[in-house]
Amino acid sequence: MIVTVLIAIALLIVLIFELFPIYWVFVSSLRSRAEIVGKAPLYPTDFKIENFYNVFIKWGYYKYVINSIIVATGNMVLVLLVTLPAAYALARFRLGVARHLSFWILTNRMAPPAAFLLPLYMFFSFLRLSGTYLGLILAYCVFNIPLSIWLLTAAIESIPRDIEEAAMLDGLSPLGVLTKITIPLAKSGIASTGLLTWLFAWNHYIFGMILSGPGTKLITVALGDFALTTVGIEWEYVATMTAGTIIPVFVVLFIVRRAIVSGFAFGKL
Amino acid sequence: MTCELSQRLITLLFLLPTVIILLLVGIIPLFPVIWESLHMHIVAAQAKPIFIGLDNFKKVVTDADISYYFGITFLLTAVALIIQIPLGLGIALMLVRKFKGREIFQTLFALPLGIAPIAVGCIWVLVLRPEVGPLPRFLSLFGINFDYMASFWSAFTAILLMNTWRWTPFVTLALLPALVSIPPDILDASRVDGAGFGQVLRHIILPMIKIPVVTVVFIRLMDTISIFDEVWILTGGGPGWSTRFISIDIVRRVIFETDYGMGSALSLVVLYMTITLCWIMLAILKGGKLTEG
Repeated sequence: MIVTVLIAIALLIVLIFELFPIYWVFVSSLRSRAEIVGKAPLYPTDFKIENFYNVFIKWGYYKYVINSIIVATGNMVLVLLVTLPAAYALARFRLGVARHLSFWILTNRMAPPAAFLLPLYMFFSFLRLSGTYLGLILAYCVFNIPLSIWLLTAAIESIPRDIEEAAMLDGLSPLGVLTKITIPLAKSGIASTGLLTWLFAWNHYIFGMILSGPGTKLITVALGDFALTTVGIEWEYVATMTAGTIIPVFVVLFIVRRAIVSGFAFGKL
Repeated sequence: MTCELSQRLITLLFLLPTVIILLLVGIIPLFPVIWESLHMHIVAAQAKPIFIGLDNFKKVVTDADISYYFGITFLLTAVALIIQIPLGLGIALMLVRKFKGREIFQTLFALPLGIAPIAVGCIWVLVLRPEVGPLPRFLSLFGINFDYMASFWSAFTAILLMNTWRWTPFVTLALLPALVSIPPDILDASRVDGAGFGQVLRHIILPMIKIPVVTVVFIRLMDTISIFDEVWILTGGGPGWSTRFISIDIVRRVIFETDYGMGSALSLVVLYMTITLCWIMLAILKGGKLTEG
């Protein structure tokens, strides 16, 4: 009994530690500057929704949001299209090269993005892809293709083989089995995978620093630029922009919460 | 025979698009960088690249500044692991038993994990800066004057706090499925036998979750070596380059100092380190699986 109470208290402290900074940003994003720099109380005191209006409408930051949506969605679609057959092959066919391929994919996932910065910049400048949506969509494949292959392989492996084999005996081609049997059965796993790749693309910063041009500037890059140049002055707008960057994340996390609670989102550990 | 051949062909076709894109973004771009790494080439100086052999790599190993940047990166990695793995495991152990609201807890607890690292930096600027932050104000109640940009150690502490905030949920949620899958009878039986919690943890729980623990340790290891976005916003590598972790060093060299020669050499060294770490991880995991089966 005492143990249960102690555990409850400990978990509550953990939760407060994890949620307070997020709460603080949202409270700050609705404050006036005078209030933010003064000894602002911990509870919300103001509700200046016009902070959001100023940043996202008046200053035109909605353009960066649209750019980020285009790149993240384009990347998600491309990644799912190419990795669905690949994950199916890795999950279902016996492959001699599979081990080497998985290792190569794994190293791409874990490599520091900073290490790919110069290679991608030089190569994409050569291909005239830097500053374009396509360049960013391709660059994000470095980390999102591996993520998607991991998650999709697990999702496909969890489907019983018999159903596919029966369909194959009925004369369905491998591509037919994949599109008519496996994909419908793995629907929820595929949806979670897509949303998680979308999230990683939306959140990414370092490639956008150098691969996005004036017309394709992303919201994370805009946030970084703004925070680095105005910190110490326009606090409330830093908070507003941060909150604006986080809100879509919470929507996605709410949708994929089953995948997080069940551990699916963390791959086969 | 024909069946096997067509099977191989289909496999190849299924894998081809992925392999082509990964070649395009993961391998081909490295070749010009290998060439650059053998040259002295500062783009802003507008001089032609000069071939200098392996001098850039020699500098990666011998240069005192670069050794310092690698050193603090490993220091952060080590301290982060020492704090976050036990903490994350401890929280996971508290979540093993089902209780009302556990799923809500897990969902809320996962929120920091989904936030863009660049936004994580902004969040912690707003929490830690003396002008606006609640934490320095709270500490000043106890007479502690905390300005995280005052010295290396205060900046390091701030980065560690931010990193622990963001990544402890990952450790917990990644270990939890393995912990939940341990049959409760085993734990109960050992308790009846009079084993203390420490013994149960060491002899029963840890061996059963060895594989996920090793995986999480290596993922955290490689992630911390990659640390960039949030530190870039919080300290920018300061005060006085004292928190210029290796990824920050690469970005500064490449974008701001346009030193393509050294930038290339460092990128390749860090990539090679990642490949080696992945290889060690897989070797350990395979060794573990062999002894189990």
